Amino acid sequence: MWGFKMADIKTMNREDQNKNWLPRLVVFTILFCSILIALDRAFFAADSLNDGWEYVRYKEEPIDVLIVGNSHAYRSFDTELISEALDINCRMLATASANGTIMEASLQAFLQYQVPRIVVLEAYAFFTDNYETMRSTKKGLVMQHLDGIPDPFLRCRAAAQTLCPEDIPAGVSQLFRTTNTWSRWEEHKPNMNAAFYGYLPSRKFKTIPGYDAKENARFYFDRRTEGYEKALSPQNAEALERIHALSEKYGFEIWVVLAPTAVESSKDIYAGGFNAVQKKVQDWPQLTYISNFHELAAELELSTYDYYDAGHLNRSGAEKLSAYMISLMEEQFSLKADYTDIISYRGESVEPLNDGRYRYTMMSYGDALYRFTYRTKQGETVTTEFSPQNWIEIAEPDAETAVKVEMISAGTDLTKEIKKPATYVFMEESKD
Amino acid sequence: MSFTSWGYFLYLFVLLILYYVIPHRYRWCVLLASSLLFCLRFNLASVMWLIATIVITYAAAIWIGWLIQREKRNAGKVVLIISLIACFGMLFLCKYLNFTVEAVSAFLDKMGIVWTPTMLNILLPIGISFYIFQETGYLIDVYRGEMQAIRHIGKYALGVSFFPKLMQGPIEPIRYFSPQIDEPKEFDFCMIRKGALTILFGLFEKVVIANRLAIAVDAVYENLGDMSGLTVLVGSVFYTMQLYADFLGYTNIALGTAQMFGFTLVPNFRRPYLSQSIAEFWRRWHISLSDWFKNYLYIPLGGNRVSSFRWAFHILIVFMVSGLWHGANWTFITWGLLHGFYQVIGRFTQAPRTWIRKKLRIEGTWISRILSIGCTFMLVNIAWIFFRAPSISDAYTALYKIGTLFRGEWSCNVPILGSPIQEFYLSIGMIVLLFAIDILQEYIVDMNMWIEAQRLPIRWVIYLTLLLGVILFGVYGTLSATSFIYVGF
Repeated sequence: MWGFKMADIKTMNREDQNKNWLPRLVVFTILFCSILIALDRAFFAADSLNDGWEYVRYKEEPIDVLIVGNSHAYRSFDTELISEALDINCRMLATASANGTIMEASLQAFLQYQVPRIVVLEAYAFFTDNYETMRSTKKGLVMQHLDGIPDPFLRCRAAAQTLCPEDIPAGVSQLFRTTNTWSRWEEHKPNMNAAFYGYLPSRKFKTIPGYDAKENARFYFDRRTEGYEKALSPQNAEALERIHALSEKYGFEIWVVLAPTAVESSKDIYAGGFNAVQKKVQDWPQLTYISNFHELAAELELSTYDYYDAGHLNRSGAEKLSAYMISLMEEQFSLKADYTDIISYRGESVEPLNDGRYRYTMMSYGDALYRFTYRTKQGETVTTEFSPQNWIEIAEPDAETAVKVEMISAGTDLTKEIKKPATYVFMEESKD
Repeated sequence: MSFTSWGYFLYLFVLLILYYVIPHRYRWCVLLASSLLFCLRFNLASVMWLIATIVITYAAAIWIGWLIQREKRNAGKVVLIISLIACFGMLFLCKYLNFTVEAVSAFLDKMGIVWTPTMLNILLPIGISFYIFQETGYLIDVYRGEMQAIRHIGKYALGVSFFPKLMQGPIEPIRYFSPQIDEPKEFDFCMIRKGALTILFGLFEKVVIANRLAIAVDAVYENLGDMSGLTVLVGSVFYTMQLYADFLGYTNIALGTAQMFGFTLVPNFRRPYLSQSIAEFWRRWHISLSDWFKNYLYIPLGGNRVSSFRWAFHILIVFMVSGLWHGANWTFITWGLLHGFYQVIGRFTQAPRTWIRKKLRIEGTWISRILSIGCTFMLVNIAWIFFRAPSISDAYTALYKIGTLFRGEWSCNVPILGSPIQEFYLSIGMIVLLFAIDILQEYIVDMNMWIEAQRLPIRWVIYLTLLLGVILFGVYGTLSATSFIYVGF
């Protein structure tokens, strides 16, 4: 039955095995890597960061909203969705491992070309770069990214630390990720913010006029760790002051936000750091709003699968947060949407009713017009439209199968159709 | 340094090269240094506690051995008792003091006496419950004359602190481990490969099965009040399997690592969920701990050579202490007592149960076997609810929720288990796989031996499948779901 007999089981020829182990190991490793790389391409949804540093040449359209921060900002907000939803130009200006100094430097460089109406400052960069308390791997990354480090020994140490991350990878493209939270089961999604340059590794920062890499290196290595407000260093506080001065000079509004994290142990740092930033900026005349999205993780229904790693959202999480941000922008900044896309959609459910009908419920943040297509028992395909607000409930007699639901328009002007209607198909198993 | 981290495998790789390059007589130094370094990766305090217990038990064992040699048994007993008090005192200080003070304070509060004690903030040293048990077992063995006291403090320290078993066992008796230190070990690729395969099995069990189930389990136990009865039942079964896969995974990684260095550690599991009684379950689950309690507590209390009621009392004592060993919490004590009661009731109802089986003509048949396995699994599953629940009241809530199933409330909302639906199906698949492998190993063939007997292409397909399975379907990260459960004990 099993293709062998118990009597056949015997120990291997050890001498023979020990003679050939090295070539076998090499061949096995090559075979393993080849299969893994091939599988990785097919198996994992693309969700990686893009390096880009063309933003300094960005002169196309006037920019309405500029999101400034580090990887947390980059991972948490989808500028394409925000732009499409509100019919505005929203851009990302984020830098890997950036602290306040880098944010201020990059913003200053950007302002030479463009003055946005609103600058969204992601606050994480202002309070987490306490070098002394960083994990060694993070220290390595920071050192590797910083220009102006004169000591070759530090560079070697940085490389060694970078090569020894704490966690096992999930696939080749996941090699340096730290959690399970990637979109394995989701349909393929293109890279977020791919069309808009503005996320760059900080090692390229020497290209920014006026950026002093050595000064920033000193920020990491020479800073004192006592006697300051919790998690807000004098350097970051000064950077905030300079950003304030820029806002007065160029006349843009500031919105300070904090993106969510999945790391439980960081909660204190988040609360303390954000409070320190809040205290610092609360009296600025240019400050419009302060939003702690980290505290809204439950309200945003962020699950384990909405995180790219322990500290960052993934595409799915960014969609949820961006949708929420859009609603806030509509309310708080009077930025009105002409049309919207998938971002207005949050959840769905199908409930069987007593009389054999089904109730389809969808939730959107703003006014939306949906097109609901279903098949009757006679096999006809029927299309109907409905335009409620937020929770939408429809009960269709004779509906056997919901084929699809499209959001065809959203925002204040429901007569204007979305260029590419978003399609949702209800989960089949929910109907059972 | 977690057993599932890159750092660990890099550490292991470097250590293996160093170990086999240097002469045999210095190898214990490499292993001891690496074990202390491994412990140091957690914190310095853990190393200090470890060294303190090693020094105390090393000196005590030599003293006891010396007294026993001179037939001063009573003096030896006094030294033994003092050293046991010192060891368990340290364990008490680190693990149980705050719990005891809280319990006393709560009791006094009920009596109307207000006492607000100051709690000690001592970080639980890594693996202390495990190595204290090894050391005390060693002291008792020396006192009983079952082994000579070890004169070489370095080798004794290695016996206690060998890094694969430091964090969560197995609680390897020193008398089994220390002779292996002096055995000459040549580089043997087959042995390395066997060890690597065992590690791979362990990784699969931990990161693919246990971590995946943990997400759903956490979602259920953190929101017990909002869950339906069926969801709680699913969550409890998931936890039963998670705990097994988690601990089995760790044990396999530990056993595989030790095997690569030429050491054989005692196995901790023998397919426990195929047990036909609770007594058999404890002969198959966490075997090294069960053996410790049997040898050093149950038998000294009198074992089963006493009256039935005295035996029942002893069993309850042993299982209560076993529960307490797992942690300073009433949930663990309740869990232990529940297992004690299971055993007592099992013994007292043995005759009527046999009578019923005979009447039904299923005695000794596969139907009887399956029924016994099912009942045992169900009882163990109920007990694990107390083990996992944050508090006794939460455990009651979980049981109450499961009880609603008898009223016909069968709703189950899978999406609230914290994962996409595909993950839920995969979790079910993994549970089936785990059971299938256990059944295969129990009744048909030893998997390791079977794999060894296959031709190279088949072996490689198995290795690649396991490796890719771990990488592609593993659940990783720094979330609570991914840490080993027994490390906390």
